[in-house]
Amino acid sequence: MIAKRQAPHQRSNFNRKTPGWMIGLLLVIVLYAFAQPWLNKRLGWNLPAIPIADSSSSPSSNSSPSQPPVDSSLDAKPSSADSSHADSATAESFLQKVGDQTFRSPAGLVYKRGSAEGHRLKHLERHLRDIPDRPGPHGVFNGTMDEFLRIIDAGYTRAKNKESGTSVKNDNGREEIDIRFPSEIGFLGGQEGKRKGNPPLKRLKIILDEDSVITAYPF
Amino acid sequence: MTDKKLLYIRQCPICEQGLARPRICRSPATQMQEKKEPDQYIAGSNNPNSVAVVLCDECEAIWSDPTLNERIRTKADSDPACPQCHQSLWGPQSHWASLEEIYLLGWYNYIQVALLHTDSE
Ligand SMILES: [Zn+2]
Ligand SMILES: [Zn+2]
Repeated sequence: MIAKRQAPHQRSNFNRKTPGWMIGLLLVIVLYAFAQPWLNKRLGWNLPAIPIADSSSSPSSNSSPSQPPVDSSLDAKPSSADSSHADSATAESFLQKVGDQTFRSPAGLVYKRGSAEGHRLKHLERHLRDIPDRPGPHGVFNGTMDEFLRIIDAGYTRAKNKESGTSVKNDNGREEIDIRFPSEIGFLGGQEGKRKGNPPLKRLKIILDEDSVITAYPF
Repeated sequence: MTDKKLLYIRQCPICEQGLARPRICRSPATQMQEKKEPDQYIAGSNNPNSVAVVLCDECEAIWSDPTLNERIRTKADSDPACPQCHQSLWGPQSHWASLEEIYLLGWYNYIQVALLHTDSE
């Protein structure tokens, strides 16, 4: 079984005229593939494994299609530690760094230092997961940080173009933007969400100070 | 996983998502005064120059006291700011009020306590 997958790219070479040295080489590779884990285990060696392209034995990659993938790098991090630094790994994919701990999105939204978490992006991360014992409602976005930033940009652009399903309220220089989406973008968490059975949410709220994002969450 | 007490007044009437929570600002002048007379003050909580406000932890609206009748609109860049020293309320001189500080402010009757079992505040 392993031997068959050993060298799929060499299969075309296996015609009647396959030279003897090639079969010998293949035999050595097969033997190595079998012996490598055993040698590593028994003798404490650290021999490299032969990479095998296998589509059938990776159940983790294609399970539960209904649940959007959550960026595992966000899960692994303690939320309170090192909160003064923005997570540049998540930010860089969609945002452009324009200054010290300051990032700009394609639609022109700015994410910078601030909030109880130390950075606006850190605060947004709180809305990627439920906080079931937090009093009141807690809007949770269904998806990764990258997807969250993209939907915030899309919603902001729709509101700027005064599209239907959007509204903008002004509060002393701060803009409170509501955007309704055709399908659910998250669910209601927190104590209130738990009480109501975590109903789905289709609206996004963005609170801006000029072009600076204070917060955004499904509601 | 640690149990953490979250002290709050009520759900924010503006964003209806955040919690309005007592926040203390101790300006540099206040801290200097405390260094000069350390016996006078209990960990900065009873310094008359400390400023207490109510701050929403989501939309960052500020009020002058727990009745939430009077909004404060001072800002430092895009941060909510202390009405006295005008520094950001997210700065190192500022913190969420402790239960002791809330007692000393006379705000205890307005306070609700939530026990958080998760790592988030
Ligand atoms: Zn609020
Ligand atoms: Zn101050």
